[in-house]
Amino acid sequence: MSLKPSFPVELLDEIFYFIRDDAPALRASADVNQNFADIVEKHLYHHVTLGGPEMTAAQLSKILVDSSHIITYIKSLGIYLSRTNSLSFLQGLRTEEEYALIRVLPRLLHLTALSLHANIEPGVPWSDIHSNFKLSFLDCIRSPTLFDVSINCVTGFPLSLLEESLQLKSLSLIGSFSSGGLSKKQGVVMFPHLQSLTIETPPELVEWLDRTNFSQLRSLVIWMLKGTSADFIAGILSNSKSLTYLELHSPHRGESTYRRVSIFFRY
Amino acid sequence: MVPHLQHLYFGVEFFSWDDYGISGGQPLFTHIFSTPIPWISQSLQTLFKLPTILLQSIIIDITVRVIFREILWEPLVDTLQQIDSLKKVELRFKLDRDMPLDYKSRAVGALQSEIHLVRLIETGLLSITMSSS
Repeated sequence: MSLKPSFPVELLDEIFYFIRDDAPALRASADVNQNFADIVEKHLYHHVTLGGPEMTAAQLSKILVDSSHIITYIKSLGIYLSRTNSLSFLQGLRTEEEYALIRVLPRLLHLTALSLHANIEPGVPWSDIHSNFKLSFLDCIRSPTLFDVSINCVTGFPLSLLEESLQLKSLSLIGSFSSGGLSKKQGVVMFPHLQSLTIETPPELVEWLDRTNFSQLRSLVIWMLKGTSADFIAGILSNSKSLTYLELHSPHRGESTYRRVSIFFRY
Repeated sequence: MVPHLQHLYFGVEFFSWDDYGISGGQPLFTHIFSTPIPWISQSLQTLFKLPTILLQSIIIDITVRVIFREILWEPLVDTLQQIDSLKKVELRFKLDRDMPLDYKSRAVGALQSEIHLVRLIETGLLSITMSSS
């Protein structure tokens, strides 16, 4: 009797962990045999992007109906609001895809990371997004097990809504936001666990940062906008004694006309 | 102020644009060039108490969208030399795809012999790399 040579499951699991970001390689690995497919599955669904070419919310919804155990594998979700979606948002129309998104989001109870992106300049207004989706999104970012949130070009997202997400360890805020509803008490916003922060510098966000405490911050990435004084950075630095990494992107960038320079040098 | 800050990264660009106008009835063409180097020096000077900070490495990623010349490196070099704790500075140029093919080698040669940058290169503090996008 001959024994089939095989790797231990734990070793295969470790290997697939390192190719989590390579979906084609994972899918190819899953095709090897059923054993591989079973091990690969949790890595294949670890991060899911909806609204892009990879998968629609309707497709994910169907997958979860057929294989409900996959819900436990989905730890990270990226949602892209595309041009088509945003136009329908603006027109007050709802597509099947949006309804699928509204249905599927509350089911993803094992998320640790959630990002919401608008693929259109100057962004998708938060006020135009379906109220049920907004409620589900807020439930997610307030979940004690969700640690990583990115909000990208969702214009007018109220910063006050983040003040109940004190469990966050990583936060990325790009675009313009709303400072409406913020508490006026100085220093009231505390993110005691936040270790990583990525921001652009619209005035409302600078104002919010000025009264926000990040005592455990390790990594800070700042995309400076034209006309923003760097003075506020000194304020953040003085409150971030744990900071080990700082990344600054100049406000003087050439790729986009609306970001063009206010200061220039002639030779 | 930031007792544990060890690594600092700058993401900046060299770029230019053209401005057109009329002056004294004559058409006026101005080529405007933007360098981020003064901004970096100013940021370092204003954000930190330089002699006391324990910064170990600085990476400066520069996207190059235009042929540059006559950059004043001295203020940046002087500022960097004030940071006693620094062990490594990387100047990483990323050339825009529209740049001439032979520009890369010419630019690296010019930078590595630049009178002020040489001061940092000779001490082993500064490395310069250039890549094409």
